[in-house]
Amino acid sequence: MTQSAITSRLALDALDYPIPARANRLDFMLGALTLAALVLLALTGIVLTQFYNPSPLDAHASVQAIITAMPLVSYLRDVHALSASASVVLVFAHLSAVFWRRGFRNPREGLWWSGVLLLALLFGLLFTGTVLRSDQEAIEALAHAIAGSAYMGPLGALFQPGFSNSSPIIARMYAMHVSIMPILLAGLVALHMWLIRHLGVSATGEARATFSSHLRPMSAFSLFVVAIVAALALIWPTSLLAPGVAGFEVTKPSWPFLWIYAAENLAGMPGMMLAPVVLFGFLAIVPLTDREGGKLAGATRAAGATLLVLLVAAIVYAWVAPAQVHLM
Amino acid sequence: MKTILVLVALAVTAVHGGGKLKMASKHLMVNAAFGLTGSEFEKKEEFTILLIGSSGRTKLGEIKSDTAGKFATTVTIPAGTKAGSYRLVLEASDDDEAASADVMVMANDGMAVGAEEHDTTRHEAMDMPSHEPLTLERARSPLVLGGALTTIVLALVLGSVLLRCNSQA
Ligand code: HEM
Repeated sequence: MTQSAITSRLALDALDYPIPARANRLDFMLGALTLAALVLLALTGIVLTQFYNPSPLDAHASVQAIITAMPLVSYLRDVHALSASASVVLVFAHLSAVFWRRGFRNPREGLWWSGVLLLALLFGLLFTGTVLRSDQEAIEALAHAIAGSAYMGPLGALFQPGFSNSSPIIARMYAMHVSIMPILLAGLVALHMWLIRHLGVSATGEARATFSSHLRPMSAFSLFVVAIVAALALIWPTSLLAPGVAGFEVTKPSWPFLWIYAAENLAGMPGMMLAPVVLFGFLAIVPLTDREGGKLAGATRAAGATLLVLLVAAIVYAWVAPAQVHLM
Repeated sequence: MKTILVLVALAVTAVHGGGKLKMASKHLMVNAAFGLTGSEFEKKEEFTILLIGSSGRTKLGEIKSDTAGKFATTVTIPAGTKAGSYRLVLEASDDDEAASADVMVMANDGMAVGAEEHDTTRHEAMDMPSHEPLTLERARSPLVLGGALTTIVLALVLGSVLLRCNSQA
């Protein structure tokens, strides 16, 4: 079968629609690279489901068995953990690039808000993934969620130990991690893509290219992401702590949560609750405050830049600060 | 005989039939009886009391609720129980968990205090919390390493070829 026969049968001509030539630059590909990391996350996660055991008594032992007895699965677990970190780095790079070029302005407000929800889901996946290890960090993360959820009314019910009479919390976290959240994520990514396809990206300039020509550099950079994550997984295998002992705080969370940990160090439980509210609250109002010709546009941009600097500073501070006890 | 403390880590919330479980004390000694009371369970229902930890399940006793759905009993943590975190579980006859409490069994030799006072070198013996990664003998295979290196090289080469084609187009 010739190439043109394949093209016509798979309707690949549909990919030849025009896009701004400027969208072929790397700063317009960060969203696609985030997607590449998410695909890697999904593929390795599917393999892990076959070897991980979500029962409270066996969860930790099953992770230990993966590390010590299954070389391939253990490596894929390392790739899974590193692609999670890569997606956080890439999504923040994407968000910052979009923020800076004001890609959220009319008519793309909904696109931005779907992105904000994607970011929240990504943090949800990171959290539930941490809990699954059932090690000391997992137990402490869960204890924090239980303590925090007490302030959240009905929204926090899922994290309350008494929420379900028949299923242990780790099994519920597993269900969230491998089905509920990925399904929501896939739906939101589809919405994000639909809006991008129909609203276009906010690149300026008259020059045009086709989306199919955009696929080439996009695939190239995605392959570089795969290569970097695969190499880092070899150099930096993911560790496992001892089985969690409840009632203690001796660990710090993984790096994407360190800004929240920093806020908790400074202001206790209210700090822990407030930090995500500030970040997500700010992201939610950005398209409302930064409008074409609006008075708050400059202030929004300055606030966004300050928030990003604070976020990075908080992560660095929490990284070097000694572990603290918050809940006791 | 080593004295062991049991610390109730979380408030106990019961589940089966809306029952509530209470322990007489937060600090309990091994080989010494501790009081366990229950209320708001199904009437005249039989339960098995279990201590569940990473080393398995230990049956601590059996109990039957009265006509008011209550019970009161005394339970003993068996000698030789390894220190660490456990769940105290009330299992109904249909194998459902009727109620549970997260508890901690700890040696009464000065270890049962703040986290900062823990001697982490005793972790293995005492199931004490630790922030140190486990030193595990990782499974390795030349095939996996070779496969990973091949994937990395292929991804880099293919990516570079695609970029080159793009710049020539
Ligand atoms: C799971 C994460 C995400 C994926 C897979 C994703 C994917 C993409 C892709 C492929 C694009 C096309 C152009 C580009 O890459 O810049 C895009 C654009 C866009 N994304 Fe995302 N995104 C994600 C998260 C976010 C987040 C967290 C936000 C904001 C809070 C966001 C807001 C936007 C906006 C507003 C655009 C249009 C940009 C413009 O027209 O200039 N996205 N996204």
